[in-house]
Amino acid sequence: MIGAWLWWGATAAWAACTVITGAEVHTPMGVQKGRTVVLSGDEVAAVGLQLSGLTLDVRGGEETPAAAWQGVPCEVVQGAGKVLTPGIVAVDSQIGLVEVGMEEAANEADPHTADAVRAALVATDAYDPRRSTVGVNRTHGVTHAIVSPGGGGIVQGQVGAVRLSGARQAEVVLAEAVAMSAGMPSRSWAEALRQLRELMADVRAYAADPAGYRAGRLRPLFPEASALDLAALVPVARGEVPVVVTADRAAEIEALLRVADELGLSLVIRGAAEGHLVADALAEAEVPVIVDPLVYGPGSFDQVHGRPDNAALLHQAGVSVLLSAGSSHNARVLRQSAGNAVRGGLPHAAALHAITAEPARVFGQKDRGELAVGRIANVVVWSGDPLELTTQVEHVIIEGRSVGLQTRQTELLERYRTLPGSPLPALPLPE
Amino acid sequence: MDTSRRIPVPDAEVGLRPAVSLSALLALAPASAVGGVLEAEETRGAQIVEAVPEWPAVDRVFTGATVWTSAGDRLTGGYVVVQGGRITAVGEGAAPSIEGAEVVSLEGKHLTPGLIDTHSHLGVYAAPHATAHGDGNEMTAPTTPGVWAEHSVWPQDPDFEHAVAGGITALQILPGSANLIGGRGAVMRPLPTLGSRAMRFPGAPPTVKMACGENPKRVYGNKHRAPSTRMGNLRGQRQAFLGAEQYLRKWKAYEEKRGRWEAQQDDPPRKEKDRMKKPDPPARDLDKETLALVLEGVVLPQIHCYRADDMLAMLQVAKEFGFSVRSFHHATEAYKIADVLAAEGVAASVWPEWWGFKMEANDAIPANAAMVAAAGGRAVIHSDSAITIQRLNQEAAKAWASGQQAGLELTEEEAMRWVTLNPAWALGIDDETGSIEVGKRADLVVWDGPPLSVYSTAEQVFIDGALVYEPSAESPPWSDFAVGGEVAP
Repeated sequence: MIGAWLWWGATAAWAACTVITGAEVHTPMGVQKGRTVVLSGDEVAAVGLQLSGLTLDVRGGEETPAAAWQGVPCEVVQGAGKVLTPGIVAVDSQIGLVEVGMEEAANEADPHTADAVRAALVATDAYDPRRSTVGVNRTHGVTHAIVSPGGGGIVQGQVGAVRLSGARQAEVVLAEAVAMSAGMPSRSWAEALRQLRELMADVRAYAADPAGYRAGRLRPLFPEASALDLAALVPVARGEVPVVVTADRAAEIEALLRVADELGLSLVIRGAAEGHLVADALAEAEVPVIVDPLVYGPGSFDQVHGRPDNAALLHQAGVSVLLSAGSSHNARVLRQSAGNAVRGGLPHAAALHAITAEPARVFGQKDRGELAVGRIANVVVWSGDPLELTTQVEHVIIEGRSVGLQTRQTELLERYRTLPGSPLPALPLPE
Repeated sequence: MDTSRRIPVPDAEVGLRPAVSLSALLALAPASAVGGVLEAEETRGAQIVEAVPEWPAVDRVFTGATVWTSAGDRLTGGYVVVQGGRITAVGEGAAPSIEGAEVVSLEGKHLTPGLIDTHSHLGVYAAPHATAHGDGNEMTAPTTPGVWAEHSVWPQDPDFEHAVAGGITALQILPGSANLIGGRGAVMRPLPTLGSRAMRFPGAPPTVKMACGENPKRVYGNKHRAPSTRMGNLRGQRQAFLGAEQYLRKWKAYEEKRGRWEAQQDDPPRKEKDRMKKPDPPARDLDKETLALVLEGVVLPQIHCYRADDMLAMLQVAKEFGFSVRSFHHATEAYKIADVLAAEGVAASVWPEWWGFKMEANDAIPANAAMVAAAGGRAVIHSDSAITIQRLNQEAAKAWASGQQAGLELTEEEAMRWVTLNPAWALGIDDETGSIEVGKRADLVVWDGPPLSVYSTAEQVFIDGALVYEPSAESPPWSDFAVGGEVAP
């Protein structure tokens, strides 16, 4: 394990420039082999076979060569036999909000309030870069998260975008309001949609006359919504900010598409277990779906017509597909989700796209999620096919900086590597 | 291929092989005659009543496969011969010619033992999730050793077929963990039967589910009754076994008396006053009976336990009453006491990476199984999920990869044992299944690629040599629940 320690040590330092040589690179234009990638500052500066501007001194033979990009010295990662992808973007995530799921004191995702409309709640206000969920997922190739608030009610609050490196909210929260999260708590879908219509009608009434609202001249608006909530929903009602709604059953999805169209909402559907049955309507409406390919079977009455090739069928129909892992602690299984989507017929490139570029695009992070010149440098170096379970993460680079692979879990492992033995320091005990 | 897609049925009672006799059951090693007597009493309540058709016995010779035997090395270009539902030959190279056997060429394919899950709630928390399907926890008292998961299993749970599609050929269905002693586990084969009894793995020893830690104390603490603490948990466990000891003493006294009475029948004493009255057996108590059979070594304890200190406390209880723990389940901190578990011969049934959902899962690490294996212990990858049971091979792959990342040099064959031979041992059925060895049941899976790859799919699943699953649109669903749902154009 000395090797592993050196490895962390070697990659923990920040270089203004990193060169990764001769790797298989997954770019928006396809898979390119034997390419060298230059990351300069926080950007991808170059991807290519022969790069002008790069000097690579390989005279050291076996030794790591020295390199310079446009005169600036670079750290070099030997990429031969390795695979480079953009960092994984976890959607519908509570990374950084939850430490211990069942303990209220260590779970910031659920606000534990009776308020049914919490549109003014900003999930990233609770984002803590020191939560174990951040480091553990980061070392498995997840570099960004689209963070959603949890709990019950009709509107849970604002969905934000974060990067999984850095120590201060000011630097790691990339956007506070990339979407609004909505639940449909009613057992009756018709009632849930009535509440959504009523809420949106009230938001419009508020938007047309906020002064009248404050002066009490409007009829009583949605009883659970405060002025702050109504104001936060105005861009949603205008279709400027997407609203993420959970729906699995095909009939629910159809009704939701109709109501969203009527209300002018920009919709993202999460769940969509039966999405394949209405894939044409989803494609026509250009509504992205967040699906979990690992969940198959009639777990609920809303998933009875689910299929293991749901993601593939949706993709074939032209629907924008995002993959989720349904868990904050284990967002690291996203690549297993993607691998299983491929097993179900989704093309490999589409599966990788569905956990990188597509979630970045849908949630307003277009500079991220792709390994291409000019994009922000988020790169994972894998020992092989990133979707294969036995492949290891070797380096993670977030916004240009190489991050270490040490976590609370690797530290626990080291404390018990040699048994029997206590990880605690030996105490001098009286004879 | 089989001409019909008929499904094999348990062979203990009908069909290809002789029924498992009581003596065979007793051979599972009750420590005393009393254990055997109690078990014999129980068989009265476990008789099968449904009519079970015999299935077509097709003898096969599988050739050219990569054979993961779970018993040793991986065979390349291997063959496996199946006759009468059992494996009769295994080897590399030219396969023997068997008259009347169908030759199945598996060039480029992989053949493994059927996967075995030690921890499932299929059928007792059946899909779809519904209040009416909550049959897994008898949450009316903290110790209910007399209930049997088998009596809650709904054979129509549509997820049984999904599990088979993932290569599962045996599974232990357990009561939940609300209770300190939740009841008997059911070691079963996923088969489309009408009653749950017919799903029993023939001859499998009985098991009991126990639980320590957060769940029992939360469930009963919330009801303002014991246990509400970990110390309350331990008192509950010990009190229950004290009762079982007393029950066993009564039966032993009765057996001793009955023995003397029987001897008198052959050789009656001359004097009337010396002749014994035929002794009455003690009243049976289903709760105490299960625990008495634990003490007799017949029932295998399966204990839900996360933390290292909780597991050590349960091992202390086991020593107090003289029983062996067969497997800890979840065992998120098994890696902290891997040496103890190896020395005590206790299997650790674990997840590859679930963690952090509650305090006692806070220290879980993904190399847990690999650490247990590296210490010489028996690692098992379990699902505890209707979803992950569909891809237990992938769960093993992740756990193995985490070991590799930690620098633990374990073979891929070892990882496959975590979902085949090791779980078979934990359930006491390793003489019958869990590896590809001569004499064992032909519980086999044909994969279209390496079994630890995310892209590999089970193409054919065999139980007792009968083809029970292959992806095929024409095949009607097993479950009545899955019928219907079509719409008119």
